[in-house]
Amino acid sequence: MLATWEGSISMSEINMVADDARVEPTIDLIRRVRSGDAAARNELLKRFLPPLRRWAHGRLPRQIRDLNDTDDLVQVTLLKSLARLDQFESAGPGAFLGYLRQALLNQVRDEIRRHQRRPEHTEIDFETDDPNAQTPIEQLVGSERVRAYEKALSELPKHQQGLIVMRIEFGMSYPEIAAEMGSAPDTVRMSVARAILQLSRKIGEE
Amino acid sequence: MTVSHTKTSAELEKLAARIADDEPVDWRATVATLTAGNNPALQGLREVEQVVNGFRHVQLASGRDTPRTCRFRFGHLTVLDPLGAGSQGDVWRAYDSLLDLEVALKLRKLDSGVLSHQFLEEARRLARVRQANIVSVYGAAVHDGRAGIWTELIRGTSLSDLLTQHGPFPHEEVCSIGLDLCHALAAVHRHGLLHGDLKLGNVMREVSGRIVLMDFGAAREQDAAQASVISGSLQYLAPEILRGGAPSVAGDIYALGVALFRLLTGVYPYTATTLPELLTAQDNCECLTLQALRPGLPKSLVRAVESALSSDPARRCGDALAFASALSQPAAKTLAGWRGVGLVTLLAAFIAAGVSVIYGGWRAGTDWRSELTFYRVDGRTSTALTDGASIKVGDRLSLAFRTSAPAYVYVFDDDGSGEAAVLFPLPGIEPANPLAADTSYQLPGKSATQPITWQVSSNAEREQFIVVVADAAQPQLERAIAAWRHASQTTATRGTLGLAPAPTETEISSASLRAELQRLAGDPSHVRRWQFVFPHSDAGAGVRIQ
Repeated sequence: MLATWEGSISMSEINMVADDARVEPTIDLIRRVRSGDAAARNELLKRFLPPLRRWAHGRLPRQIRDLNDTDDLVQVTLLKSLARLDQFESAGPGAFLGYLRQALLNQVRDEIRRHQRRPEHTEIDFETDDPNAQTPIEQLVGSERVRAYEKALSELPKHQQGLIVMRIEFGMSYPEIAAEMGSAPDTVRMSVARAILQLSRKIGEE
Repeated sequence: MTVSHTKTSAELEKLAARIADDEPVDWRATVATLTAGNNPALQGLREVEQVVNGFRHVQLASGRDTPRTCRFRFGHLTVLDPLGAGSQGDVWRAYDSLLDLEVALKLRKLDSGVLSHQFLEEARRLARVRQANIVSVYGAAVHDGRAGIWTELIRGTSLSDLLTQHGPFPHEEVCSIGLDLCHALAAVHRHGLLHGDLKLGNVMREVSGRIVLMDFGAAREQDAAQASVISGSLQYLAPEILRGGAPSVAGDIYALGVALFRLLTGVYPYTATTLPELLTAQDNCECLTLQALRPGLPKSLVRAVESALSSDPARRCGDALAFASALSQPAAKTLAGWRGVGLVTLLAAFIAAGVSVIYGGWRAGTDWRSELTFYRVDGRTSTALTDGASIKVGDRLSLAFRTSAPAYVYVFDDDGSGEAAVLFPLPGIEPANPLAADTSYQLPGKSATQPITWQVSSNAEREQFIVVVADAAQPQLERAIAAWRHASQTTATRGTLGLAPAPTETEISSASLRAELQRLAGDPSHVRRWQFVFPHSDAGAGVRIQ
């Protein structure tokens, strides 16, 4: 059968950043939040909550999502991150999403550990095919592959991590990433390709 | 050495860009080009591609609202409502969050007396058979000690319910259903399997008109049939099986004969309801005749059904395809004609003209002209598809269209699944009908400012594009297609297929599309059609999902 195809899965909220020149770049927004601007804080939440929620769907194991608290987890993590914004040293444009993603991933891991500490879960073995213990992405491609990906990703320079996370994990289009990075879509495309090749070399050499 | 190294790096970067772009990668060709043998980067790229595809899938799934009316969960399935009871278990409607679609989940009854592994055997058997008129299996698993199989969700009504509600079927429809079921049985038998429980309750008619054979709980391997216990519904069991014979191909043919007999008459061939009565009735040849119950039926249909009902298995059609051919003999000609009106002629003309450019005006008496060209879109370039060009799954296609008078254009895809998909017009995508005169269009068009193309995914034996161009809106057609599948954003499966001239006998599998085309054929001066068939060069084997 045939399906329509677009360059990427569109994330409408971030799309607005790309399409509307009047929308403030994230980096400026962060500066305003740091200076205590409440409107900027709300704007930042509005911009990042929906894509992070969608992202979390793929990264939370069923046993946690069953508690129906994905949204809470995302919101709490985002608020905590905003509270610590003064500690956050921007590793360059486009790094904020990577930063939030890492914060959320840490939160998810804490949640998983918390579940494992429960007596009925002491035997959870992440090598098993128990779909409740695996995240959807692990169910799709296998836990080992996801671990190899995470490890290789963490060894890349921060700006490359940001590019890969935005493109692969958040499904942002090149114009969207370019808007975040203050760069041109074609340049972003080349940079993403190079980052992916770097990532692949690291995975292949393991 | 350095030059070759640089070249390899450039190739690898191109590959990485394809992955980043969410484009399919032909790994076989790639490995052949990059003969670096044990190239760790290449190995890594393959791994990364898997991860990228996984994320893409998860993004698609999480973009939709998850149903909230969850009864309970079965693995990653959200179980929604009960649908009914099958031979060995209860069937539920469920939501598969990984596939992001609703599925039918059959859970083994705890007291069914069937072991989990026997129950799962049904899934394994069925998964081997892929055919448009057979329900597709998506998965099988055991969770919390309960075995479950999930399959595509068929939205429709069983033929037995339709018979109860509306009485006997028109003979043309019985013939068409018979042909579909013959092809389904032929596929089952080709895989060395037997259905073993074909009955009207196990055949569904989907909303689209597609006929689907379900419930393979009684199916078994042909080789193992000898040793197995007889199951199935009494009235559908062939005389030799009722007398202790092993289930067989001839037994499935008999059951199909009974099913068609019931559709034509509303009753079973034997009035007996208990086993002893049935055996006696068969011994005394008390089989009812179609002639007595429904005079005036086409002779070939009567002959085909009654021969399938022969007490002597040797006198039945040798196999399901022979049954199909008996059903489509002369008297069924009206049906064959109905199926192919206008299209075969068009198709022949189309092959003669090559695949790429077809001019309109196929009927005399009109100066209204349309030009259609299918293009393969590759990055910023597009190539007109010419006769013999090969295309890969994952390729993106567009249709260049120009007309000398304002036109209403409808493009359909029939992939042999029995259900046509609407490729144009699509909601939210510009342009919409009518298309202006003397303007060049690239269909399907644009979503906001982003150009959209159709992407070929696999899982079909062929793609058949039907383009309908009319000089006025077709409200009846639009009402009909509103309920059909529309091309939608989805991840592509990978594989290869060839582009080749189509065999002229290629039928449109969707009954509703056939019916719409048949209706439109009555208005040739205002409505025109083109048909493009791209068969998969190596159906099945050429398709792999990564």
